[in-house]
Amino acid sequence: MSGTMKRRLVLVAMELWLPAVVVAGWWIWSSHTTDPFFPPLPDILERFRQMWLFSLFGSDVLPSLRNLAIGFAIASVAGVALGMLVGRNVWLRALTEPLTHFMRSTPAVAIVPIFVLVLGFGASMKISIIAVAAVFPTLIATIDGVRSLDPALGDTVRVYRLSRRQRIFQVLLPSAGPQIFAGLQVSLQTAFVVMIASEMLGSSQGIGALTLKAQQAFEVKDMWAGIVLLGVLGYLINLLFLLVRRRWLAWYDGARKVTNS
Amino acid sequence: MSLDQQLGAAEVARKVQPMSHEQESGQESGQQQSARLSVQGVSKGYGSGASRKSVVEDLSFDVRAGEFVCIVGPSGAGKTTLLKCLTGLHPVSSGRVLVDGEEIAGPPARMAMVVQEYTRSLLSWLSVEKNVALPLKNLRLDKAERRQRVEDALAEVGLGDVGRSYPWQLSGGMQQRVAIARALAYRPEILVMDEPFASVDAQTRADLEDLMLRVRDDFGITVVLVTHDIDEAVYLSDRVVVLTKGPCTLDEIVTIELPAPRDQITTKSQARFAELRAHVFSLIKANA
Repeated sequence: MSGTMKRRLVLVAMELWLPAVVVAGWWIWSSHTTDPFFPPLPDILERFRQMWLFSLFGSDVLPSLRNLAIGFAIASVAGVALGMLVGRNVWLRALTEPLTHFMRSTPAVAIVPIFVLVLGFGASMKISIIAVAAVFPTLIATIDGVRSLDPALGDTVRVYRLSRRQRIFQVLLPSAGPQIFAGLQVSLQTAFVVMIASEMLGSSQGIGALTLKAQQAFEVKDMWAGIVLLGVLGYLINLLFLLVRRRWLAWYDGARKVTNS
Repeated sequence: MSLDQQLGAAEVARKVQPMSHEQESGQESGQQQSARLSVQGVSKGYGSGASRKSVVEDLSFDVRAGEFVCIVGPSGAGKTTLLKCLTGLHPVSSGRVLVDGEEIAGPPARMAMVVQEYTRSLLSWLSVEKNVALPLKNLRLDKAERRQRVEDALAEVGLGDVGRSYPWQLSGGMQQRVAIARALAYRPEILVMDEPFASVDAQTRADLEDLMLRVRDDFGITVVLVTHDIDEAVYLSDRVVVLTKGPCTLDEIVTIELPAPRDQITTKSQARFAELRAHVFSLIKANA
C-alpha cells in the first residue's frame, strides 16, 4: 500500500470513529431504557425503516427534497447574479446595503408566517420561502467576492479589452468562486432549515410535518425516526455540496496547497 | 537641479529633448505624426486641496513607432503610476496621452501590458495555455492561428512544455514568462512593461531581454519598459527616459546610440556602453 493511500485511510478512520462511538453508546445506553421520550435505538431504526424505506419516501420525502432543490437553485442563481451586479456598482451597493443586512439579520424562520398568509400552504409557498431565506448568504458572499477582485487582474482585463462575457465568466465569477461557494454552503444550510420549518406550520405533508405530528401525537419513535432522517439527509446533502465544490474549486485548493507547503 | 554639473565631466553626446506644451500642441507638426505614443504635459495626483499628493508633474515625452524606450528613476518616483496613465488605466489629472495622434480615454486597442504583480495578473483557474489564449479571443483569429500563436509565444519564452499546467504550479520566474508570453501572443502595437524581469535569474533575464529586442525587430512593436536596472535600460533602449524623484518630472532623455543588433557580451563591453551607463547612473544618483 502506498504512503498516501495509508494516510487517506487513517484520515477516514479518524473521521469515522467518533460518530461510530456515539451511535454505539446510544445503542447500548438506550436498549434497556423504559424512558418514553428516549426509546431504544433499535426500535427507532425499525420505525425508520418502516416509514422512510420507502413507504413514505415518495409522498413525503421527495416533495420536501424537490422544494429544497428548486428553492436553493433559485436562491443560488439570484444570489450570484444580483451579487455580481451589486458588487460592481458603487451606487447600487449604497442603495441596497442596509436592506440586505436587515433582511439577512432577520431569522428566516420568523418570516414563514407572512408567506403562509400570502401564498397559503402549497409548494409555491415552501419554495418561495426557501429561496428568499437562502438568497442572502450567497448574495452577500458574492458581493464580497466580486469586490475583492485583485487590482492587478482588473488592470489586465481592461488593458486586453476582454469582452463583457469574458469578464464575467472567465474572470469575475471564477475569481469570486471561493467566496461564492462559502456563501452557497451557508445558503444550503439555511434552505434546509427553512424547508423543515415551512412544513411545520400547518402542513400535512413532508418530513417536517410528519415529525411534528408524531411529536404532538406522542408517537415518540416516529418523531425520532424523522429526526434521524433529517440528520442523515442534512449530512448527505452537505457531502454532495462538498463534492461539487471540490470539482469547481480544484484550482483554488491546489494553489492553496502550493502556497502553504 | 544641477544636472549639468553632474554631467559636466563625461563627454556624453546626450540628446536632451525637453518638450514644452506649446511645441507639442501643434497637431500637424512632424514630431506629432511620427509619435506612436505621446505624453504631453501629463500630471497625476491623488486627493484634493491641502492633502493633495502629486505623483507625476508636467511630464512630456514621445515614443516613436518601433522604438524601445526604458523609463528609469529613483524608487518611489511614481513610475508605476505613470504607466497606469500611459495605458489609460488611470485618468490623468491634466495633460494628454496620445496614441497615433489620438487622445486616449481608456486602454487603447492593440496595447498589451505586463504588470509588476505578474503572479496576480494571471488567472489561477485557467491553464497556462488558456491564460495566453484569453486576450486573443477578441482578435477574430481563426482557431488554428490562435493555437499557433499561443504555441509560438510559449515556445519563445521557453515554456513550450507547460501549457497544460496551472500558473500556480510554476515558479515565480516561469509565471512571469507566462505573463510575457500572453503579451507576445497578443501581438500588440505598443507593449508596456513594469519591471518585467525583476524575479528571474540572471541567465533567463538576459535571454528575455534579447527576446524582447528580437520581438521588437520582428514585429515592429513599440516597447515602453520601466526598470530600476540601469544596465538593462541602456542595453535595451533606443532612448532612456530618466525621471526625477516623486513627484516625478522629466529629468533627461538619453539617446542610446549603441549599434544594433545588441549583444549581451559585445554591446556591454563597449566603452560607449559604460559611459552611457555611468551617465544614467549619475542622473539617478543626483536625484535619489
